[in-house]
Amino acid sequence: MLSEVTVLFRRLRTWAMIGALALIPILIAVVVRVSSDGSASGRGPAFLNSITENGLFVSLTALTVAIPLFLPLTIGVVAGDTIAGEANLGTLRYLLVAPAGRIRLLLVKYAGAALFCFVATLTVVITGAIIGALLFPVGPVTLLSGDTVGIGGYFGRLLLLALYVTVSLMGLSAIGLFISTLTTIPVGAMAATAALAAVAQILGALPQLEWLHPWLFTNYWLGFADFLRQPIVWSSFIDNAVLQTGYIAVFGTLAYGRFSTKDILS
Amino acid sequence: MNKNWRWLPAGIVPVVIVAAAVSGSAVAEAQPQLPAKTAQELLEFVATSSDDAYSGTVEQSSDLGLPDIGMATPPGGTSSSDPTSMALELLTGDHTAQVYVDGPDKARVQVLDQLAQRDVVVNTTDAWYYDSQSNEATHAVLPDQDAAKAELEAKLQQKAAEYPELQNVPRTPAELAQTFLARIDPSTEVAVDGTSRVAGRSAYQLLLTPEDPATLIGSIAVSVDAETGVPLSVTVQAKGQEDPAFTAGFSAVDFSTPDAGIFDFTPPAGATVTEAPTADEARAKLEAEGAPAETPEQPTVIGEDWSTIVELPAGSAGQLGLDLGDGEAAGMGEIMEIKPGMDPEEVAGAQALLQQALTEVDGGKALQTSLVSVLVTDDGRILAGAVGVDQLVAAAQQ
Repeated sequence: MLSEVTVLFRRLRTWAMIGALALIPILIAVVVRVSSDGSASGRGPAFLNSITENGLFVSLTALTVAIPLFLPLTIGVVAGDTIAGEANLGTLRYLLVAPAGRIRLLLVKYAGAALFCFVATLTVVITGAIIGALLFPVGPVTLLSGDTVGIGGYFGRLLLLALYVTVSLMGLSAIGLFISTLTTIPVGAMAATAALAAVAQILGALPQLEWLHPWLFTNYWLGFADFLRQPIVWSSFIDNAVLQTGYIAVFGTLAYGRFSTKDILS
Repeated sequence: MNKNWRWLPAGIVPVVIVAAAVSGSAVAEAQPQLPAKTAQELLEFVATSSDDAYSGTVEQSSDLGLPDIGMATPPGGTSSSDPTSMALELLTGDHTAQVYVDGPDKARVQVLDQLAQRDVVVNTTDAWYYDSQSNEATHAVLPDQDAAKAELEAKLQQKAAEYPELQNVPRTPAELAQTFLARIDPSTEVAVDGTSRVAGRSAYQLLLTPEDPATLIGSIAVSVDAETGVPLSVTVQAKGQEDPAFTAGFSAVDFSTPDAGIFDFTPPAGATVTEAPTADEARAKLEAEGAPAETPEQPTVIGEDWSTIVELPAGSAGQLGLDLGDGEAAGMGEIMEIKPGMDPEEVAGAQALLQQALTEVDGGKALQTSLVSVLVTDDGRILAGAVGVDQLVAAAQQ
């Protein structure tokens, strides 16, 4: 496990992705700072207008922007690479020569992807808070309900929020893991995973498919705002966790079925 | 070498999930056994519940057979500050809200939008409305309830002395329910329609069926909590439509007193706060400006009970920005009230939607939904009611 994590986080690609994610809040904050005079109210991503008053909102704006595209993209790269990457490098059979077992390898790979989800989310949130604090005034944060919390309480909520987003991405990671067991070409698995995230979001935007929406793994992705209400609404967290567990169960067992019956040739 | 059993978990898991989803909804449909109650007992029961404290999540959805209005107004659109369109949006769209109630004079409703929220807070002395998207708050000072009550009592006493027949004004909730029942009786069939489970609680189903053949309302079902008498859900069925036209009900409810802090509200720093005039101020302002030279014509009420039609006099269509005019140029273009600052694209989109929804009828243009019809006549009158368009046309020609 430890070696898997060190391998993951020693790769230049991982750091490049984390760096790209960190660029999102920095870009938002700098652009707002440079053009802070005439902002059109009610336009642009959520929380954008609050940034000039309180720099801590940069985290939230960045998350809203990152969740539909950038986070799924990076998760797709990491999760799609898990098995197919080893197969492509020809290292998979050496990994399985050691008496580790295929189930354990799958679990370790999945845990690595999950850890990356958390680190990626935290990167966006923390960079957002830091750059916001550098460029804008910082103070007690106004929640969606109009109540105000102190900075300490706000960071507590941010942590919960990062956890929520991580849980949201677990289903996608499981899908990526499964796709990764199907192929020896990592790029294909990465692209397929990221494309699935896009397809699910498009389906989620069509009102004609309303019956399907509660079953899409993207359905609760923007529900993180429930942690910015006073009192906190927990129902979406629970619904989200149940849904993602379902996806993990389905695609985890599929990945097991595929990976344990597959002939490892490379 | 048979390895196929390793695919077994992948086959079992989806089956388990589907089974869980199906059995979950089956449990929700099971009817609880409750002691029988008559419709009148149930109405009295509802009337006693006004002092209760509870909190919960309310889900609302409607299917009025209209194009989706929510699609025309983008989130955070300028029109959201317009009270009329906001009320329309709140009534027609699908919404989830958190509700906190503590007795008759403390309440908080939080409409949970995606990445945004609208709050209404009412406590004993103040009322607040806060919109997180525009960061605007509206504040109103509520009249002193005790003083108002005392004043009302004194007036009632005075009237009672003048008119002895008013002595039997209902005083207890049960009496109130009685009057309510007596009033809706002639045109409405009230029945207890078994029991159901709403938000995990046992509830009685109260079914109101209008006997009036003209109305579009098929029936109204109210679920009443078996323990407290608090109405848990309302479902309105329209005639000739299988899906309910409007439902609002708790998906989760908790009958413990909410934290008192929930009912306190201080507008956040940086929010635009508007003070709504108090009733006295509004009256004083009106008097200072002098009463209007002639009071505008009052709306006429045609028919009674469920098929009541309200007719606004000629000219009101123009006042409301609904002037139809002649020819294409003026026609649909003026139906919407166009305000400075509204996004032209948004206006055009909403107009296109209205154009779809409006139909040409004899002597005007009509909007037909599954519950309500509205007719704008060519001479500028507006007729509306829970009846078919043909009824409105007939009423307009009288």
